[in-house]
Formats: sequence, C-alpha cells, structure tokens
Amino acid sequence: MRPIRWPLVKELARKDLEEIAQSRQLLYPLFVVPVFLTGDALLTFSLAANGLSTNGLSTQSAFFTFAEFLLLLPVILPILLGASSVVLEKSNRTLEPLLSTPLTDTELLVGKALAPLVPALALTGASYTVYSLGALAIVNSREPLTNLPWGSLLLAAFVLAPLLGLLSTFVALAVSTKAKEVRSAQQIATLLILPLLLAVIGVGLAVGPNLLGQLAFALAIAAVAYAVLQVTVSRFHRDQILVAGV
Amino acid sequence: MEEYLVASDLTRSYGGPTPAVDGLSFSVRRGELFALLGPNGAGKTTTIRLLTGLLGPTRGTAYVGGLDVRDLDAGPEIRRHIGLLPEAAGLYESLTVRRNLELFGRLFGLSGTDLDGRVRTQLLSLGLADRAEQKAGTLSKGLKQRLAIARALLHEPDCVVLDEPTSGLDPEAAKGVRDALLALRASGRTVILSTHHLEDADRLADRVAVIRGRLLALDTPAGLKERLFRHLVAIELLRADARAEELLGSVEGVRSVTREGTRLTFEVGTGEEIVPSGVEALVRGGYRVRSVAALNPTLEDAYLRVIGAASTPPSGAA
Ligand SMILES: Nc1ncnc2c1ncn2[C@@H]1O[C@H](COP(=O)(O)OP(=O)(O)O)[C@@H](O)[C@H]1O
Ligand SMILES: [Mg+2]
Repeated sequence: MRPIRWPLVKELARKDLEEIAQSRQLLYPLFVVPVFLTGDALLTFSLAANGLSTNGLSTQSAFFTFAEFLLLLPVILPILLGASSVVLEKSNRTLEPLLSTPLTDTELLVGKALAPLVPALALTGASYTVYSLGALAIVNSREPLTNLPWGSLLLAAFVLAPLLGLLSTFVALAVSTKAKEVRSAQQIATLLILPLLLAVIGVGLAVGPNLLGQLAFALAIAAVAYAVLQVTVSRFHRDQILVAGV
Repeated sequence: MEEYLVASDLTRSYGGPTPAVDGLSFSVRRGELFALLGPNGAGKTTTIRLLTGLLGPTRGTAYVGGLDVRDLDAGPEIRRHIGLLPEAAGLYESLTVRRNLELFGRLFGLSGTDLDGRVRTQLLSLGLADRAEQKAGTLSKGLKQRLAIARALLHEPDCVVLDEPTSGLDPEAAKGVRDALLALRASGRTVILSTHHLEDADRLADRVAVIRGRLLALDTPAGLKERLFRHLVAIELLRADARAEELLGSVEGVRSVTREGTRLTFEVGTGEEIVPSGVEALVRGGYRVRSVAALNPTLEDAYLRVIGAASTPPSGAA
C-alpha cells in the first residue's frame, strides 16, 4: 500500500470543515447539543451534590454518571457531520471532480473521517473541561476534591471518547457512502449507532467507577471500532461510491 | 501519430440486462480533438468515467499514456494526466471561486507561488478575475462552466476530457466554451469531449465516434458524411411520377431513389458514368430535366442514419 499523503488529506478535511462552517444546518446542532448535554449534566450533578437528588445518588456516583453521560457527545456529533459528508458530495455533484483528483481511496476516506472527528472531539473535550470546572466549583466548599473519581473522568475523556468518536465517524461514513439523501443517511446512521449508545451508557454504569472494568470496556469498543473500520475501508472504493445511491 | 488513449473492448454493465457500454475499441491520438457522439443514455458519461478511471470496466480496459485504468496503483498517476470536466460542473458553491481553484490545485499537489500564479492565469484566461472572491454558487451557469474548465486545466494535464461541455448553455456561453476548446487543441493537448450536439462534433472534432452502447461509426466528420452518403444527387424534373423513379432506379450504380414532388434524390456509388446515364435514361423516357445538383449531406443526416441503423435501443437502464 502506498503511504498516505497527509497534505492532501488535510486539504480535503479543511475543505469539509469550511463547508461545515458555512452551513447553519450543521453548525447549529453542533454547538447546541454539547451546551445542552453539559448544562444538563452539571445541573443534575449540582442537585445530587446538594443532597437534592431524587434517587439519592452520592456525589461520587453522580460525578461518574454524568461523566459517562457526556460520552453521548463523541457518538452523536460525528453522526451529525459525517452522515451528510459523502451524500452531499453526491447530491451536489461534487463527488466526480473530487474523485478525478490524485487522492487515493484511502486518502479520501481519511480526509472525510477527519472532518467530523476533529470538531466532535474538540467539542467533547471542551464539554469535559466545562463539566470538570463546574463540578469543582459545585463541590469545592463541601468535600475534598480527591473524593471524586477523576481517573474515570480522564479515561472517559481521553480514551473512551476518541474511540467512540472514531467508531461513530466510520459508521456515519459507511452509511453516507451508500445513502441517497442526507436525512435518510442521518436516520440510518442513528439507528445503527443506537445499540452502541445504549451499550455505552448501560455497560459504563454497570461497570461503575472501576478503572479496570472501564479499561476492559475501552478494549471492547476498540475491537468494535476496528471491525467497523475494516468494513468501511473495504467498501470505500471510488467505483462503488460513484455508482451507489443518486 | 502516437496513440495517447486506447480503449480496448471497453465494457461496463450496471447490472441491467445489457451493458451500458459494450465492447468499445478505439484509440485517440496525442493532440487530437476526439468527440464521442450519441443520444441521451448512449453511454457517453459511462465511457468517460471508464476512460478516466472513475469507474472500473466489467470487461476490457483502457490505457491512458500507456497506463492501464484497471491498475489501481496507477490511478493517481492517470488522474494527474487528465483534466476532467464532468457532466455537472460540481463546484463547492459555498466556497469562493478562488478557493474552488486552490482546493483542486492543492489536491493535484500544487502549492505556494506556483499555485497562486496558475490560479491567477486561469482566472484571467477564462474571464473570472473580477469574480475571484465571490461564492461559486452566485455565478451564472456559463461562468460556473468556465470555472469548472479552469479547475480542470489548473494542473496542466496532457489530456482534457469534457462531458457535454456546451450542454444547457445559452449560445453565447456555448461559444465561449467552444473557443476554449479550440484554444486547448491549439495548445497541443489531447481533447476528448462527449456531446449530443452535432454542430460541436462537426465544427470542433478531428474525429467522431458515434456510440449507442456500442461503437457505431468512427471517422472524421467529413469522412463520416462521405462514407455514409457517398454522393447524394438531386435531379429536378419538369414533371415526375413513379415511372421516372423506377427508370432512374434501374440504372446501374444508382441507389435508394426517393421522389419528392418533381425532385428525385438518389445516392451514387463510385463511377463517372452513373449520373450521365441516369439523366440519359430519364430523357429517353420522355422526361425533361430542369437541373442536376450534388447535395452536401450534413453530419446530422449521417448521424441520424447511423443511429437509426442501430436497431438496439440504448441499454443498461436498470
Ligand atoms: N449509476 C447507474 N446505475 C444504473 N444505470 C446507470 C447508471 N449510470 C448510467 N446508467 C445507465 O447506463 C446507460 C448509459 O448512461 P450514460 O453513460 O449516462 O449515457 P449518456 O451520458 O450518453 O447519456 C443509461 O441507460 C443509464 O440509465
Ligand atoms: Mg451523459
């Protein structure tokens, strides 16, 4: 296999990001979803920390629960951006000129993956930062900060989130490659990612703030991500992309 | 002359009962302006996608500058040799005219002052210089087409491939595109274009391939007219009837006589004696000849005849 030419890949990703920046339809939810989820997480955490939680969560498990809850972001955001990526190139008829450049299929795929992944992970990181700072402010006066499960938060933000983002991005691209229009691409991708979403929350909470358990979970997600990557790469050929859909 | 692009039994099926493109074999010489002519659904776009390596053939193959389009590793190299104008301009409409060009320049490996210079040259030569900072979506159809041509030329390809470049443009814009094509050929580039406009093929092309799924004819525009309508002659009589038609038809070398009012039209094979013999037969039969004229068949006549003779309908529709 020939080596990936990163300047070309970056150029493609940059183009996609410029287009995203020009699209209110994509930009609006991209910022609303993280603000809403982070705000919700902080609000509920503050209720728990102040002993107002309805289901009697301890401050520690509330902190962990909402750290897991934020993992929805790296799953949702790439779908939002990635599902439309290839479909739009098809429906705007820009795919053919793009495919006539020296980009290889792999470079095309990597560039197309970076464009949703980078803002999704950046916004996820920002959300975790805001959540952490918010939690610090809330807990500050009440108990030692070291009582909170910071390890779990770091693992979620730095290991689980990128893995989930990668997985979600490739699911979105695989669907986008075959789909006929943006709306159906987003719907199908969401349907496919839904079991994952439930698994993330379910398993995450079942495992609890237990670092070894979480690492095992991360490994499982990595395995799934690798399988999805294989499938996406194997079906990402210019010939098929051009003929499929539209 | 050296052959630059060779199609060899090129075939592509989309899964329908008959292939969309079936067993095309032809070659395009370096520096030639070659037209693919055919009605809608004839497989022109499919052929172009096969020749440029965007689609893989189901059978046969094509070579561009000696590289096999089936060889995926040669793909980037093949695409670097080709400048493609697809059927739809396919611009990034939310990006500026300049950004559209810069993007493709970079994807073709250009950068720095070299890229800037080429972008400026293309903007100037296609009359887009004062629109550079405008969003591509705000351009008129003709200007979009010109921008798409500029995009195809930016990396200075040896071979420019254009899918219906004048289709849907107003006459003035179409003329602009035709002029651009002639300038391309004058610069020594190999140009391949598909069209269903006979005029384009007739005026621009060195050679024309008429296709409808299969290759129906391949010749120069003049040769195509000549070969299909060797000599078409019309004899105007003072009075004509079925007997005159019959008389003329019985002369050796006279073919396909038709009568329209007082005018008999027929095709002449090779032989100097045929027209005089025909006139003589009519005069002997008591008919009075008002005039005899050789007709110049148009490419349209030739085209319609070739297309009409191909009884198979355009294929591949799923
Ligand atoms: N992606 C596709 N899937 C199925 N059939 C197709 C596809 N593209 C083209 N065809 C069929 O192949 C035939 C040739 O199409 P095309 O190459 O676009 O012809 P032209 O460009 O001459 O109009 C048509 O019958 C068309 O319906
Ligand atoms: Mg076409």
